[in-house]
This record gives sequence, C-alpha cells and structure tokens, in this order.
Amino acid sequence: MKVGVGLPTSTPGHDRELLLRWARRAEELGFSSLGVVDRVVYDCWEPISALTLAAEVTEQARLATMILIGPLRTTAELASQAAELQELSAGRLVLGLGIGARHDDYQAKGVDPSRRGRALSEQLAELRMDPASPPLLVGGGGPAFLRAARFADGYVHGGGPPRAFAGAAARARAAWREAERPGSPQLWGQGYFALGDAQRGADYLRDYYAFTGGFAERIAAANLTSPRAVKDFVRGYEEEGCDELVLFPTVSHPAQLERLAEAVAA
Amino acid sequence: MKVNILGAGPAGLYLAILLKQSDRRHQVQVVERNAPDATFGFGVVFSEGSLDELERADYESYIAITESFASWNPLDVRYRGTLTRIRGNVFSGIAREELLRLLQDRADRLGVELVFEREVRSLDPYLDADLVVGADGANSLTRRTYADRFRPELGQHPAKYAWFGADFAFPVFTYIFKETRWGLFQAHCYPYAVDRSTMVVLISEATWRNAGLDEMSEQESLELTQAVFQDDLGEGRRMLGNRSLWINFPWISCASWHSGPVVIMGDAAHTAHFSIGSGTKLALEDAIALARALARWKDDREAALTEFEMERQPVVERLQEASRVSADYFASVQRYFRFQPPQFAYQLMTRTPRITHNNLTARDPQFVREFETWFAGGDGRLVAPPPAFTPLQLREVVLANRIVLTRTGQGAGLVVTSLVGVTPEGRIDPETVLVSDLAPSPTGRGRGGGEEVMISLGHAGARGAMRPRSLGLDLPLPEAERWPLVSASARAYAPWTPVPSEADPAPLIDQFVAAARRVRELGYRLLELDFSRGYLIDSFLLEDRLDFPLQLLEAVRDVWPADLPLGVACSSDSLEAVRAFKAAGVDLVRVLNGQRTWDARTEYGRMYGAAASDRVRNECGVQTIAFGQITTVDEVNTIVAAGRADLCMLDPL
Repeated sequence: MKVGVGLPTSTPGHDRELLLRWARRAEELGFSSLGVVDRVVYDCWEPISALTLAAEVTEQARLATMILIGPLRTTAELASQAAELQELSAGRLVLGLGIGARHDDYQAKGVDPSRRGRALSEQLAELRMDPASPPLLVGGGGPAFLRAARFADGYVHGGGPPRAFAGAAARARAAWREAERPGSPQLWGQGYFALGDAQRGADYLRDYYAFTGGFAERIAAANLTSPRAVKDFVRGYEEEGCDELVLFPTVSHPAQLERLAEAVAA
Repeated sequence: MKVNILGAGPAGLYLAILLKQSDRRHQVQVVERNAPDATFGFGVVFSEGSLDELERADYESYIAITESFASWNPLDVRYRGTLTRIRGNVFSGIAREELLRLLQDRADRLGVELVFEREVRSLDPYLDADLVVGADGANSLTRRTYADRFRPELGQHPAKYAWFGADFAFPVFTYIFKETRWGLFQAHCYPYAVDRSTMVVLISEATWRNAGLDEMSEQESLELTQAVFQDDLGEGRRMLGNRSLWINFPWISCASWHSGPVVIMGDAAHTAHFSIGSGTKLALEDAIALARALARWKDDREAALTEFEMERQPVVERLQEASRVSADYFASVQRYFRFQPPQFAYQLMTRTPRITHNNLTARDPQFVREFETWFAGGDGRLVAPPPAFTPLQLREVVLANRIVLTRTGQGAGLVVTSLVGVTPEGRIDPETVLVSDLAPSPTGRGRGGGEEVMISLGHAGARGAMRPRSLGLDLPLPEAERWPLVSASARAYAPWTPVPSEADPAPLIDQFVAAARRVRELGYRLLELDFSRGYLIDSFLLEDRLDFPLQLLEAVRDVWPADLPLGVACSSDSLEAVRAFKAAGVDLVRVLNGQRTWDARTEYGRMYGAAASDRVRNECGVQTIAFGQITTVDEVNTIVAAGRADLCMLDPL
C-alpha cells in the first residue's frame, strides 16, 4: 500500500507559501500522492488550481482529487482543466469524482442537485471516452460502486475506520465483478490526522462537517491524534487491501507533515 | 453528576446501577410509569451465551441474574411432524419480572432513587440534570420530543406476532411450524423457569384474518392459539396470556442517539427483531458502553456521548441488518416447505449470513456430518464430502462439484463463458467471442475432473458496439466503428449510448437455433441463453413481452438434445417468466439481477445474490446458479446446503 498526504487547502490559515512548502516537503518525505478535497461554500481552494500549484514544485507525487464534485462543473470545462493539469504535471493527475455531500455547493453554483447522479454518470462517460482522460476514481456510496466499475479505474472511500473501508472495498470489488471488468479496482482510502494540537484539528473538523449534524462530532473524534493511532490506521487499511491511503491534515502547520512522516515510517 | 433516567426497564436500571457503582457521588434518579411489580411479557432470552461483559461491568448483578437462569444448549425444530435437534446453541432465559426485581434491588442498595408510577408527559421537568437518559422503550417520548435531532426511521414488519406463556418448561429452545386451515402458525418457545416458558407466536396478516383473530377477544385468541399448538404442548398443558395483542414488529433506528444532555438507548434508539436476539441484551450492552464512556470522559459529556454512539451504532446496525433478514426468513418460510427436515433445519440455522457451514460445524459437528451424508444422497454412507463438492446431475450431465468459475482448469465443476455472440451484430464489443469462432469443447480431452463448459449464447441488443471492458462498461465505440444496434424498441440503454432500431424477432430465432446447433456440434454439453442485464432478449422481458423469449426458448430446446441440460440467465424480477421458462424445458437458471437498466441499483453486500437465487429456486422449483459476492468455499457450502442455489459462481481471489 502506498501512503499519500493531503494538501492543506481547506484547513484554517492555508496559504500559498505553506502549500508550496508542504507539497515539496511531502515529496521529499516519500509520500506517494498529494490529495485535495472540494467544497464551494467553504473557505478553501479550488482543487485543480491547488494541484496545479503543487505540480510546479514536485516531480514524482501523484496529484489526486478526493473527491472533486463533478456535476458542479461542465464536462467541457472539467475535461480541459484536467487535460491541462495532466500535461503540466507530466501525467500525474488522478481524477477522483463524486456527487459531494452538500446541497449548498450546488445552490452556490446554480446547479440542480436532483439530477446529480445522472449528471455525474454522463460526465464520467464523456471523460472516459476522451483519449486524453487522466485515470479516474469514483467516490460515494450506493450507486457509486457500479459507477466506479462502469467508468473508472477504481473507487475512493470517504473515510472511516478500516472496517468501514473493508465493507466498501468488498462492494467495489463485487460491482467490478458484476461489470466483468478485468483485474481488480484500484482502492483508495483516506483519513484525517492532527499530530499535536488535537484541539485545533477537532475544531476544524467540527466546522467543516457542521452540515452533517451530530456526525461532525464522530468525525472529529476519529481524528488520528497520536503516532500510535496513525500506525494502527495505516496497518488496518493495508490489511484490508487498500492500494493507496491518503492522510489529510486538520491543522495548517508544516510540523504536522514531519510528524506524520515519522509516524508512518516508524 | 446529576442523571435523570426515564424508564425503569432493564436498560435504565442497569445504567443506573453502573453509574452509581462507578461513582457513588452521582445523583441518579430513575422515573417509571408503572408499578415496580407490573410486568408485561414473560421470559427474556439471551442468545449466544457470552454475558462476560455483564460479569465485568457489575459482578453482583451478573451473579444474581445468571443464578436465576434457565440455560440449555440444543435447539429443536418441529416441522411437519418431525423433530430435528441441533446442539451448540447456548441460550439462557429468565423471567422478565425476576430480572427487573434483581436489577431494582441492586439499584436500590446502591442508592439509586427509584420513582415508580409517575407518568412522564414532558421532558421539561427533567432537563435540569447533567445527563438525561431516554430508556423509555420503543414508544419513547424522549425520541419523539427530539425527533429533529435523532432523525428516527420507523417502520413495521408485515407479519403479526403475540407473546404468550406456557405453564411448563419446554425442554429446550423450540421452533414449531404448524400448518392449519387458516395458514401457518409458528411459535418460538423457550423455557425461563422450571414451570414456565415463553411462546412468541408469528402468523401472516392473511392467517390472522382467516382465523378471525382480528375480531377476537384476548381470551378467544389465546384459546384458538392453544388449540393450534396443543399437540406440541402435550395433553393438559396450557398457554398463558398476558395482554397479548397481535401486533406488527416496529423497526426503529435513529441517525443520532444524543443531543446536548439528552441521550437515548435500548429500544428507544433501536429495535432488533426478536427472532435473532434479545433487545434486552442490546439494551444492557448499551448501558455498559454508555457508563464506560461517561467514566472515561469525566468532564466532557459531548465526547462521552459521541464515543458511546460510535462504539454502539455499528454493532447495533449489523445486528439490525441480520435481524431484518431473519424476520423476512420467518415471514416467507413456507417457501421451504418442500424441503426435507434436515435441510429445513439447516436453512433455518443459516438464515442470516452470520452463521455459515463452518460456524454450524463448530457448533454441532454431528448434525453437520449427518446432514452432509443426507445431502450426498443418504444411502447408508457414514461420511460424505461437504456440499460444495457434492456432484450435481443435470439431465445426463454430472457436474463434479457446485462451484462455477469463468475459466477452465481452476477446479470448478462448471465453467460458464461470457456472452458468446450469436451474430456479429449481437456482440457487446469487438472482443466478444462469436459462436462461429468457438473452439471445440475441451472436455474429455485430458482435462479430467468432470469440468464442464457451459456456453452462454446471447445478443447484446442496445448494449452492443461498446468499447472493450478493459476501459469500462457501456462506453460506445466511436461512431465510425459501430455496427447497427437492435432492441425490443427504439430506446437507448443509457443517456450516453446510441438509440437502437426495433428488432425483427423472426430471423433472431433462426440465428439462435443455428448457434445452438453449432455449440452442440463443437461437443459442448451445456448451453445457456442470456436473458439478462438488459441485453436483447431481456429488453423484451423488460417490456413484459414474454412471447418472443418463449418462442426462442422452445425453438432452441427443440434442437438441443433432450438428454442435455439447457440454462437461462435472467433476473428474479418476474417469477412468472421463470416458471414459463421452466415449463419450456429450462433446467438451470443463473440468477443475475444487475444492470437491467443503466441506473438499476444493486446492494453489493456479502453473498448478495443468494437471496434472489433462493427466491427463484424455491418459488419456481428450478435449479439455480447464484452469483454475487460469493467469495469463499464456506459460503458456497452454506448456500448450496441451505437450498438457496444448486451452484454458486465463486469470485476469484
């Protein structure tokens, strides 16, 4: 299993200097990929722009959206953005797409959320048939498993303990079988960490996930706040057959990255 | 800490005990509508033995409770005048009245303030505490008051059930299935004292009406039910009533269990069908988890309640899921009334995916060994291979085992091909094998092991002219490379796929017949016609046009040798269609429910295809292949032994 790290693009205090430094250092520390999230109605950076910036200061790391809310962009717009970044990064983009979890993101963009599942499927079909398409992943639950098998190279899980990942991974594989796709799906997982300053990390998660109601507390409580917790999490994901696990910061500080690298290496 | 607990059932009382026991300074009050000695229902049953958690949580109450237990290990299935006994299922029972008395005593001695006979009409007077616990049962006022926060989902199971008692102790946990002129009566019976048993009686709504129970008094309904079960009770023994009403089991689950200082637990937060485990055990485990979280997070109530929820919700959800499967099993159990008693009992034991062949073998090796010899044909043998490795005869063809794979040389009893196109226009993609390209059958030429190959003939219909599967599914070829598409009507399969033209059925029949002949000439002994997944033939079935598929089937059956089996791949959506296929000479149905329409949704849980196969096999009386996340030989054993399928497609490693 490869281990990647998220870029600080939505944590409080994110800025250009931190992002450049973070991306550069993450690659030096051996993280296999740099991940970004996508939200419109939140103080954060647009994922493709952030990855474009990161692409400039890195050479090897894959650049992954986990996930990008596909239906919020027109397919033509997304395809050209993706193709451009793919070229700029010498083919390092992995485009993870989903419908997202929030209606207000759709309202902000003036997109009808009621047709988002269908819109995403149509978008994926179009992207996939473009010879310039980057590798695709699909995230989400329910219909997302077949969507991943139908249009993509794999499935990206939304986060949670290894056991939750295992359940989703089994479904993603089952859909892959049903679709008679050769081989097996790429399986990506993700988690949050705050090594030191757990309180700030929890505050950020409560705020970021406030729209989920009581669920935000659970996400905050699951934040990986010790090297031990990180190690157990990484091992758990590896045992469940994850191909690439991306750990997202909840605190905007370069020391977080160093501590994560130590915890993962130990 | 000041704690107000609403409801003095096992959940509320046990939480009060644990809180007081962890810190005597806590001020704990339990408020209950009823008197201390008012009880409803009879005994409480604990399955699966493991009450270790209770022992660790509070030793004194654990000893008091377990000393009062009636425990037993075997389980009896009384079905069609036979009795099957299966060992290794540890159950314990206790009178509900006794359990509450023990908990009340213990709570009282610890200094819990117990307030009985006080109706709670509003939560307001109780909110002045650090923690307010709604342990107020399935009809929880707490849950209803905070419905916007807890977001409950409520439902009802269609079957009717009622709690009765009996004036003697059944020897062990006993399932009774009794057919009457009004319909099936089932009883789940367990002893809880030397001279008492609980009997939970289940009937369908139709049976309830047929028997006139909908218009009977409590006494009349007790008398009728007793008459139904008199043979099983034994002469002179009586059933007992206790406010027994025929009700529908309420399904309750909540997105969240806490909000501010208020938390719900036990039946207030979740129910699990009585046929799989006890709500009481879940409630006691809730109390343990909640008390432990509160002890760990002394100053942070929010953290404690979140931890409680995170620990318990996944456990409860898994049990709820299994309990739904179990409830549905008992509601449709008559489907299995053709089964011989050993298989009926086996099916009952493995009704949820939680118990597989291996689990059952660990519980009662003797039962499983006897079952395996019965499954292999009886005939006086003492040992037999496990069900997955029992041969299967289909007309004159004998398959070496019950495992179906998609490649030869890997140990399967049957190999089934991907769709083989009857014509170039019928291909799914340029890589689809055509019947004209098929190599002769490899069987009998050094392979050995009796591995047979079944050719699956089909026509892609509106799903043709796609790019190869290595890229994806349903991705149309560039326009210049496409071939003309046909389907039942001129409707595209998906919004992004091309519109086909309407198919002309007559030549298609000739093409399938010619293809079938060719398959036979090549030496294959099994043939399947693909009527599934929205391909050409299924596009007719999707429009309820059964005529053409049936004509096609009859025409192929006519040219396919009478001593060789013919299969169909189709969905379980129309059992009527499957019955018609069977009548037209189909021996084997591969049940494939997915992809009939582009946006059809499949729940890809473990062994997800087994339920659909079960329905087809046992409602239509035809042999089936199950497909859908079957990943271990243990699962194949279980599905085949339980009569849910005759063959299973095993996912590759």
